[in-house]
Amino acid sequence: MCAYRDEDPRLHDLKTKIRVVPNFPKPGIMFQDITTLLLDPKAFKNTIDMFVERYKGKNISVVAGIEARGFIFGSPIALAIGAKFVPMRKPKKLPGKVISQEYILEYGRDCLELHVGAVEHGERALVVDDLIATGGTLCAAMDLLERVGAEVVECACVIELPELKGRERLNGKPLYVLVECFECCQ
Amino acid sequence: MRVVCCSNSSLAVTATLPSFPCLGPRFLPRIAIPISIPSSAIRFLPLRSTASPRQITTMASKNAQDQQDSRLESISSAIRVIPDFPKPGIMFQDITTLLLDTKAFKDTIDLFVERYRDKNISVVAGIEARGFIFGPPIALAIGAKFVPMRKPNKLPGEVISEEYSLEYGTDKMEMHVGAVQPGDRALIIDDLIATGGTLGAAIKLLERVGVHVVECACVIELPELKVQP
Repeated sequence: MCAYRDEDPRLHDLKTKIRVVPNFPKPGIMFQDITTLLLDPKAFKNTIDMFVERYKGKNISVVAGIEARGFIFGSPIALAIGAKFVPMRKPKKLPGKVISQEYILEYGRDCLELHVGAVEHGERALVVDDLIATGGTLCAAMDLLERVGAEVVECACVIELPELKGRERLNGKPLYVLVECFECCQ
Repeated sequence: MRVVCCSNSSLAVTATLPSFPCLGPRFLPRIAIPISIPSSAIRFLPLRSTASPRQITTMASKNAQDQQDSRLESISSAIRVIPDFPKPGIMFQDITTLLLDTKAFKDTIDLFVERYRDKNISVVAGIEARGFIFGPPIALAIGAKFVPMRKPNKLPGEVISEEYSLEYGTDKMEMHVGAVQPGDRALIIDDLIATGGTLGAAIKLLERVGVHVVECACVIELPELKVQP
């Protein structure tokens, strides 16, 4: 079951374009697949527009996109609001000097990396990903940006799974999502 | 600083060259008549050498391509070269510094959009992961679908796969079943073309389902690496 906020007609259309794939990547998970949204040029454009309308004129100098689906949404947002785009990547993908942040998964750990020098002290940053679940990845992204002295203005995702309480993990940082989905984990 | 330009003589170029806009008088368009890659791949510049640090010429130009020249120059100078990544001997062309230059990044996208907007392209296929940075803004601007071409086991649901060769071993690329339709006109995007193995696999995947691949477009070419048979 999905809810949408504020009755923006664009949101209703967006929600219908997201495909749910059961038991991916493992049994019991109802995977929220945004690739079907990307196949509808108008819906994809509306998605980007809704973010751009929110962030244009807010003096955001950096959009950090989380590999890999965060790149798809983060890059057009960055271009539209005139901000730098900074990819946050899995280990060993970024060449040159990086800083790393480890984070906890359900089973085990993972790591996110950011280029040294990509973001400067005092910059205002937006973090973008397609979806927030437990918030572990977004948290790691925020930690990295704050470690280099940036101010994380907001985290922005297309989809939230509120039952996984990712919002609470963001240390009080605002989270903005377009669509909430419930009963996605069994 | 000087441009290292590769000559056209290494390619079999026949027939009439289409009148595509040249991206700068120094940079000659190179057109490969396909043997193994079954579409005309016009490779975009700037040309880069793998052997030596990047060098660029500042050309005084008095013709109408001035605007394009200056955009290309700043794009080229925004790309960072990292020696010995991912392994010794490789001069890695790092586009992340281009993404930090808001004007140069916008110019990069604009150059592609200007080329493709009136070509009836219905699909932009972007290759994971850096193709996901350039592909979506192009797709949005020209009103095309965006289709991610991914490493194995990333796409949920039904996929089709194409295996391709690496220097050591093989890798696989996947695309969603039903993402594209027979008759779709596609543009494939990646940040860089090296041996062409990845782009070749993407072309095959799309053509297997009846898509017409109009062109492959990359920010950077490494012309000294030959296209794989």
